[in-house]
Amino acid sequence: MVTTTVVPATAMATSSRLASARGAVAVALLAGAVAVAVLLSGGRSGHAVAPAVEPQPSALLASLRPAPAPSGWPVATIPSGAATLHRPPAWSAVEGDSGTVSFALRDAEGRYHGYLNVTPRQGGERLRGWAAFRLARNREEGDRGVRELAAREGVAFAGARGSCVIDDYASRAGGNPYRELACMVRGPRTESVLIAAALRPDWSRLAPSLTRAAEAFAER
Amino acid sequence: MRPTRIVAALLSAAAIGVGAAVPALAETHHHHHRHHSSAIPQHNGGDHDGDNNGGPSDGDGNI
Repeated sequence: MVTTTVVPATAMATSSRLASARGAVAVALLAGAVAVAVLLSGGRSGHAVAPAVEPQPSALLASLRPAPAPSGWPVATIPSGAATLHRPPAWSAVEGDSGTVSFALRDAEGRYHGYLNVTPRQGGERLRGWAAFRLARNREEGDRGVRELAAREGVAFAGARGSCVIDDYASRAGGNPYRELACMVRGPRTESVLIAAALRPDWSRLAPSLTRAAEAFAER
Repeated sequence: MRPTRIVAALLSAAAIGVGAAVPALAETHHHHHRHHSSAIPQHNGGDHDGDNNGGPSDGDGNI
């Protein structure tokens, strides 16, 4: 005996609409997931970067040398005209002190994943002993767990010389873990401080872009 | 694996990636008032740095 089950037409239509709606939701969610992945990739369009292995801080400092910015990276100059910074295209300007420029890679919730800042020399910064100065400055700002990973003086920049330090700390507000490449750069006439930082879990992925920004940095 | 499960897996992976980033919110403007003998004027009674809001420290060199 053969039994045939007949599904009412209305039920079939409802089932079809449900399947269609489910598919649309799935596509929308997938698009959202892709968008998040693209955002967190560092916005490195036009600049292939392989973040496979985390660079050793000392090796990163040893490898720093002046180099043109990747094609398509926008440029910004601090108000005094003393320093020029290139940034990855997907990074956007963020508010900072007067006289400075800052760019960041943030997600939809405003989290800083990457950060670039140029500030004219303001106080007691010196090329000699820069690392100690910077770490003391971070501690004075209230950062916690400030720890030097590598430092180097006599770093070549485009037409300039500098001193750099790579260090870890947790922010005073929120205790967010960051790693930074902080350099003081002396040009023929002016001096500035360049900060290239990333949230610690993002350092491996963003360090190549931060390094490229540092290598293209120009001080007058 | 059904398509919906694949999407769910992708979303879970994305959520883990985002969740790994400790909140570092920007532009909430809960400024601390640093007392600088400042070479750079600080507007609005304090600066607008992300480092006041859980962001990274800037290159401000005044101690």
